[in-house]
Amino acid sequence: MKSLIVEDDFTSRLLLQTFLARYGECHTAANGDEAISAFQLASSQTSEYDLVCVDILMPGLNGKEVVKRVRDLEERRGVLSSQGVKIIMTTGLNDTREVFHSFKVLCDAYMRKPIHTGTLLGHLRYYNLVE
Amino acid sequence: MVTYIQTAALNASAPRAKAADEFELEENRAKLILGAVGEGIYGVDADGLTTFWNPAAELLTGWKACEVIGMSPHELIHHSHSDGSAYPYEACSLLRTMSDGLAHVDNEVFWRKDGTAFAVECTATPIFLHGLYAGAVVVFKDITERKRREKTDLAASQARTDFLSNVSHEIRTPMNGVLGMIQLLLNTKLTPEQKHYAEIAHSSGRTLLALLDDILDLSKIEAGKTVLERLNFDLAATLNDVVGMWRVQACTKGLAFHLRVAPETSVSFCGDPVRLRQILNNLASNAIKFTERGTVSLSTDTVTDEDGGCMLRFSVTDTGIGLRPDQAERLFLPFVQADSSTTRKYGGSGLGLIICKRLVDLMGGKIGIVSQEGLGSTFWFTIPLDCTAPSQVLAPGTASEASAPDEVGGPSCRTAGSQVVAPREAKRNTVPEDGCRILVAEDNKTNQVVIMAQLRKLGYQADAVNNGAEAVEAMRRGHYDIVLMDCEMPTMDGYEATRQIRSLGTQHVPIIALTAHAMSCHRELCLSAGMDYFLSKPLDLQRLARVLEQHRPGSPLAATIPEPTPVSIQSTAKLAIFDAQAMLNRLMGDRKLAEAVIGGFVGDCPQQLAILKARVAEQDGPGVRLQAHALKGSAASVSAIRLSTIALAIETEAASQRLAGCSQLLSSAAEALDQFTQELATTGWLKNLDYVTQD
Repeated sequence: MKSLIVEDDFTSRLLLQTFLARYGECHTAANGDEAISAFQLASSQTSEYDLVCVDILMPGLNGKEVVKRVRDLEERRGVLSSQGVKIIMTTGLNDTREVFHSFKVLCDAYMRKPIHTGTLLGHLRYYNLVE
Repeated sequence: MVTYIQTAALNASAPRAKAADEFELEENRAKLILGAVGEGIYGVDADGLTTFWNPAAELLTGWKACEVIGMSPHELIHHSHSDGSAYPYEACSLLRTMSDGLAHVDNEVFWRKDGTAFAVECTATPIFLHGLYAGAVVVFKDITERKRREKTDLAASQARTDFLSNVSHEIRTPMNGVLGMIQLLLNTKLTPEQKHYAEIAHSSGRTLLALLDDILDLSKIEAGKTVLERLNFDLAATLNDVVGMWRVQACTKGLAFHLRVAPETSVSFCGDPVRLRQILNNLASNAIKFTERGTVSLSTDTVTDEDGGCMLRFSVTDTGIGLRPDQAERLFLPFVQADSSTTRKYGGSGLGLIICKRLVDLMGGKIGIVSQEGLGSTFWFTIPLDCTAPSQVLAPGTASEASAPDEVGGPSCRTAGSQVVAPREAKRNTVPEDGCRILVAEDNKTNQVVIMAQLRKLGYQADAVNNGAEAVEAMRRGHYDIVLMDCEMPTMDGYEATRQIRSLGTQHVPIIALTAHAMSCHRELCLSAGMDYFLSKPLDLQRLARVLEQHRPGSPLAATIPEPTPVSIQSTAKLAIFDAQAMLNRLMGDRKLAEAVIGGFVGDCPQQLAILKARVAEQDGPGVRLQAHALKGSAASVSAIRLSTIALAIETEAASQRLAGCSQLLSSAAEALDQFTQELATTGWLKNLDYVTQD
């Protein structure tokens, strides 16, 4: 499993990185622009990410915009939504409308922070990313 | 005499007169025809000058026959292109083709006398006299109306495609919202009945999304909006992806899934791997869908096409229901399945194969099917792929389960269902759908009975064994999704059993330790032996349910969404400085991970506090809010409850523009961080910490 973590908070990033690195290659991006560059690079090298964890609230390009751009890039490449990278939104926000809007920009799952590794693992198993 | 002569002349010219009559009749007839037809008709001689010009031509062009005869029609009606640029006589498409036969033009314009133009379709037929070109007859008609209709038809078809694609996209967006919310709903406390309904809603939604995907994709391909990429890619990786994706599905149906790669196949290609994968996925999904028992195999080899070019040939063979020849013929048409009852039995949109065909066409390849009803089918396709590294070949074994070269090929792939060794996972068939099988290893009979009863109550199927050795043996023989392992058992204890199960090399099955000791050193011992979780006896039913739910395979609902921490600025002093237990629970008892994260936090946090202080000093309200939010998040990640709550208070104050209150809270935050670090030191956490700092 190749994953990308988009998270401006160092501690959360470290947690996800330490955990996900056990399951394969794991890259990190501290903001949305870095994330888009990383995603484009991976696509051009045909070694696409299997999982992207994106924080919703980030300065600059926020999480929802990142998801939107990733989905646009996929659509331009002809990747079907069922075959696209799995995107898990992470956030400390507890606003149902916010969650709904995240799903509307076509994320796959949603996780409340602080991250519960059991929940994350549940998602990974559900998407057949880990055994 | 005269009379005689006349008579003689009459007599002598009788046959001639008859011929003249016939000629006149013939000419009249020709004139009649020329006058009656709707098409404009004119004749030119060898020099390209008009010899005749029919009434329809007069009507269409505005030029009278008397004005045109003897003139060059090209100069009169064919002098310019539709864009107004000059059209020299030498370049005239009618002239050019007249000499070598029939000319047909339908994309040019003729000009009227009044200077307007009309789209014309014309046919020029050359006339040869004694083998020499003597002129031509040109028939033309005004096709302005037809052109306009064609244009609107095209626009209508384009509009339909755009509409379909927009509608699909517009449906998909809120649909994903609906699905997401059902996912969250499933995370909440539901009665089994409610849960069942929500799960059905979820799976129906997913089916709808898949259908939308297909419609969107097909409409894009038909509108010519699909552009193939040319990327260098690794064929082995692509094939492995496909196999990895479908093997699980095949196994749950009790089917074997094989990948066969011809040994001479190259590994690096240039093409569109995404589309290739899509075709393979579609074919593999169909094969699995229509096969009840036996094997599905995917094979790849290199073939040469009629022109001697190198093609890659892929075939997906199954031992499924197969097709009659008449069914096979219609299969690549949209919305066609073998028969309409297929849709009811197997589902699916019927769009998959037509998408495959369009994609293969687009890639310049061919697709087809060889099938026998009741025996199975082979779907094959060839695509020209440019090999980028000819020296590298895909050796058997590179791709998983690539088999010996002698197994490569078409019909030999077909194996009777009974000869296939059923994969181990096929045992799942005996388990009811969504059934999660649990193995309980416990030596004490009373405990065993209690646990089994608890599991039954929670709706799990479980088998019990009496010691570690039996547990290892059971794991080797059968399939279990979760193991509950007592630590202290005769013959072989839980730790040793866990180590042996882990060394079997099978799929990772969560092992949950059961122990009477609640000491944390036991927890460490369990985790280091390779167990996933730790439960102390006596088992609490609620807690057992929660833990099992967390470790159930394929469960996206591994944990419930925690309730938000209530904000109370005054009471922060009463809050825990560091809730180690909460953090470990969140990280599934993974102390190593916890230490890494805490180490990072301790290194990073002073910097975060400094930034926050600066923002407060700058009176930057939104900045304070954002930074406090970040601090709240990091502190919550390490269960620094007090610090996190203070950060939340700062965030709230900043949000309501009360920056004055923030300064006091800032010092509390600094204090809380100090307390956190001290507590780490006193509880023995700090000494193992690797300080990870951000450079």
